[in-house]
Amino acid sequence: MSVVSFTSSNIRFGNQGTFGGTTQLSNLWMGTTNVSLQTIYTAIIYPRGPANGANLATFRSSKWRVIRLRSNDYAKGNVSFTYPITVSSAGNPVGDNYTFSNLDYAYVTITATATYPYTFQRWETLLPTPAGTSISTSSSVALYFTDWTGYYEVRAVFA
Amino acid sequence: MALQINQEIETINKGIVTNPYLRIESYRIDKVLGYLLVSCAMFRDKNDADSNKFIYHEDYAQPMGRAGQTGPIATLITYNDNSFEYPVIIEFPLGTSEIVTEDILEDQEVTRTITYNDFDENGDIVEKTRTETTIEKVKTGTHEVTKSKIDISVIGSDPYGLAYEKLKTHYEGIFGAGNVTDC
Repeated sequence: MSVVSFTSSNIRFGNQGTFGGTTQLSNLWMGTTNVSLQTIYTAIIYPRGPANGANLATFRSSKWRVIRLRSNDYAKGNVSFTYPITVSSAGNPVGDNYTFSNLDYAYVTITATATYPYTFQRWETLLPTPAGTSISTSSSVALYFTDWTGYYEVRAVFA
Repeated sequence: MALQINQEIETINKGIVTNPYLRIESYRIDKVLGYLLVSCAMFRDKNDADSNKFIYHEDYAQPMGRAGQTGPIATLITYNDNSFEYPVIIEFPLGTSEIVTEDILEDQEVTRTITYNDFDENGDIVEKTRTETTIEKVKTGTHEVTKSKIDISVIGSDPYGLAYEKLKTHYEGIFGAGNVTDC
């Protein structure tokens, strides 16, 4: 019978599942010196960023949507979500830090605000391609979950 | 079925609104966690709310066909010189109060003798022991606490009416008792 020696901190156990956590580590015959507890699942809200991809797909039977709003020229006007949250672009695209669940919301409302003397013209799609499909000529419009299947990018056109 | 808030608010997308119209947009009952969840939205008035819904399923297929839909009042509002976001998703627990007896647990040091197998110089298995002291939760007594026992039957036969009743109470906490009326 061979003996296996653990010489570094290279054994990690998840803190959930069948292995019950730190109290059970004391039952290991080799002690706890070279054993660490690996955190595998602690997040309740999942932040997302460019590295995480745009689509969260389906999670907990809920379809999550990501939508990015842009302005064709931020000097001429800004864009914002006004429902179910209020967040404005302030000179940059907006929406990357939020996801919306279709279980909780049937729609989001987006609003374009022109800077005088410029005026709002329309909302149009950028993604999915082909870009340039008009969505609405109303500066404030409700977009429903039926309007897109995943990552959605729309632009307000000011002139 | 809806609610009217008899107070004036300042909005960022619909100007000054004197009597906002509050409508529940969706209902959800979580049977496992015992919650009634509602999502709601405020509109300028009933006409504004009615313009933001559909008669036929086919009607919401094309965004260009919704020119009159401007959405609800933006969630960021000003009321009594305070700016805040009105609540959109609200969870109401479904249950009844119950007094239960629970253990009182305290951290205590517990020393145990651990038996383990080792090998001698000949490679034979020998049994050895060592002691380890750990912090464990130890029961030191009991006490009574009031808990909310999950019981979705409290919904009764009118979940919509119950949802509005609870929503009304919730919004009275924001705009004052008596300032939210059925409409």
